[in-house]
Amino acid sequence: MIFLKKLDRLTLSWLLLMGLTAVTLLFARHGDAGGSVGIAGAALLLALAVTKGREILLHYLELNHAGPGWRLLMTGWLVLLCGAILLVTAAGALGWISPH
Amino acid sequence: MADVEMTGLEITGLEAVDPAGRGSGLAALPGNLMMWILIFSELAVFGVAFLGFAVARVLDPTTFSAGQAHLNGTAGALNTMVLVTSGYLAAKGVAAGRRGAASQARRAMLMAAAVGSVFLAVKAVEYSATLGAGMTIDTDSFFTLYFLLTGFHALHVVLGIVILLLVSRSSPETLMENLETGAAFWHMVDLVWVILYPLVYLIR
Repeated sequence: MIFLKKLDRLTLSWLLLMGLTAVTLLFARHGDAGGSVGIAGAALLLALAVTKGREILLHYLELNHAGPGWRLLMTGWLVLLCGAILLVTAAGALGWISPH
Repeated sequence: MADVEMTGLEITGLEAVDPAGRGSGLAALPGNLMMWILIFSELAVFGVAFLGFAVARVLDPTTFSAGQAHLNGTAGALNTMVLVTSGYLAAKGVAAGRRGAASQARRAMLMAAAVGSVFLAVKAVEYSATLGAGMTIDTDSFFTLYFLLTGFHALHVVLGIVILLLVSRSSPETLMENLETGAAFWHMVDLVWVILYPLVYLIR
């Protein structure tokens, strides 16, 4: 715990990014056909991507010091993009868009 | 007083205060504004390309699932770890520069570039495995998009490494701005990969 208290915010971000990436390893496939991760799986993976992207934007790119406008614009891009990817993926899984 | 030499966080200790003493609006962004214009356009282009990939997959799920089965998801995760570690070193370099520790900042940028080159080595192993298995950019729509997206991103990694190396050799007068500018580009490359990896390697 003393070790954790001595961590600066940047190091905490790095550890978080490494930990969340380790979680994605559960979804890695190795040559086998592998079933769909489903809508929930896609949502989890994209939520992990948003969380990681937010750490990069706020702490690596220092947008936490750049004012609310920049934070909103950049995290907004991240959330909208990942949300749109999820929407498209879900639409495919639910059969709203049929394969050609 | 030692504190006078330290800027930002050390003096204030507050998250809300800008560490580099930047202003508001465009001046609030770290580094050179031209780099941010590039970052915005890159994020727009990658964003559209990622959406296009998602749509193409929905239109042809069988081809995309079969293509993805040839990719090495573990190598993708390893490369994510490589990039976030390299980004961490670059961010540490910026912090060191701000403290006035110039040689430490230069060293951090060189280390960030060295770790970044591991990404390219892993990518080369991946590409040779894919190409060795007979999959090329012409194979099907999955591999066309896979090679275009990852190739375009890998070129940004190459450029990022060159920028980090140049930044580490900046003159003392330009060092601080160049550290911030180079690191900003590098973090953008990192950010793009964090979305590309689950999109192309994991979601199916």
